[in-house]
Amino acid sequence: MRPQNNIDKLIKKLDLKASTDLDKKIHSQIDKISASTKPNLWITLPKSKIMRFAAMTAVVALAFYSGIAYKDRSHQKQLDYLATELNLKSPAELMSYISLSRAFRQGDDMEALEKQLEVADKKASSRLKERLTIDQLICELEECDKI
Amino acid sequence: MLEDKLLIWKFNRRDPQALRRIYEKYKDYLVTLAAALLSEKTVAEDSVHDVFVSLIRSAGKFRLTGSLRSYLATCVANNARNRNKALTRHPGVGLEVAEPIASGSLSPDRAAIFGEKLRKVTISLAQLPYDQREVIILRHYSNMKFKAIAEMQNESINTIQGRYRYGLDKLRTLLNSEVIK
Repeated sequence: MRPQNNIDKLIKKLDLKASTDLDKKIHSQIDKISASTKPNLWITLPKSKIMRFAAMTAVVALAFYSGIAYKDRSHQKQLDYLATELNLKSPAELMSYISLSRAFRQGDDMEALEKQLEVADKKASSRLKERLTIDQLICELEECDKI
Repeated sequence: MLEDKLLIWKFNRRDPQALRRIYEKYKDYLVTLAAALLSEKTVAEDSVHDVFVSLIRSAGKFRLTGSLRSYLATCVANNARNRNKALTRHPGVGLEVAEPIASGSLSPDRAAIFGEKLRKVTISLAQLPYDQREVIILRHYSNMKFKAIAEMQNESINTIQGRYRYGLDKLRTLLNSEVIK
């Protein structure tokens, strides 16, 4: 066996136990510190201004996204109906019909609805099987509202 | 490693149990390291005490980049080296801790701090110059790399490797010598 390995083994055998005096000293120091401060496991405030700003931005963005996600969920069934029944798959098409739905609920006049339909038609002209008339659209939207 | 990271996280949030756990986990290792460097248990425990007091005071702002074990070993080694330097500046006060011990002159109590079986090793280590002893102990007991030891001692890697080689040769000679009883 190489002499260096012998020395390595000998040194690794070195082992001492800390005395109870040392334990008492250290634990009493820890008790002093814990008596003067309270543990703060849950709140971590970043120290730099940039980190605080980034944390605030992240919280606001998360709250905003959560709000949109919740709102969108309540319209999901309507969107699914529109997508399935009217064969609309593009987001632009869906959004256009949503805006029409809102206009219908708000009781806008026929002229406003016509304008909305023109906008929707322009966006989805290549996808729609046929252009729906106002009456047809109102029927579709009434069906949608029943869901 | 994961436990250490969690302990540090809790420690920074001033959880006393985390600090107690860190102490209980590493106290024997650190006392042994300090005693091997300083050849005396009482002074070694003082060194470990200083390190933990500093650690306690750094709660909330402690940042660990490597392993906790290596960090604590480095702190103890630095503290032990400072104690050794202070003793060499004030000769006559605990001189035997600072200077290499002449063969056979280590007191029986100190020669047996690691037990009778390791008495020969204890005496041989104590006879090495402090710098060589430190490199050998940190290399073999703490498994530190030469680069880390060089950074700690503020020397080049070549110097550290030279100290290691000379220290090892001398240690081998001392261990094989029949003069040590």
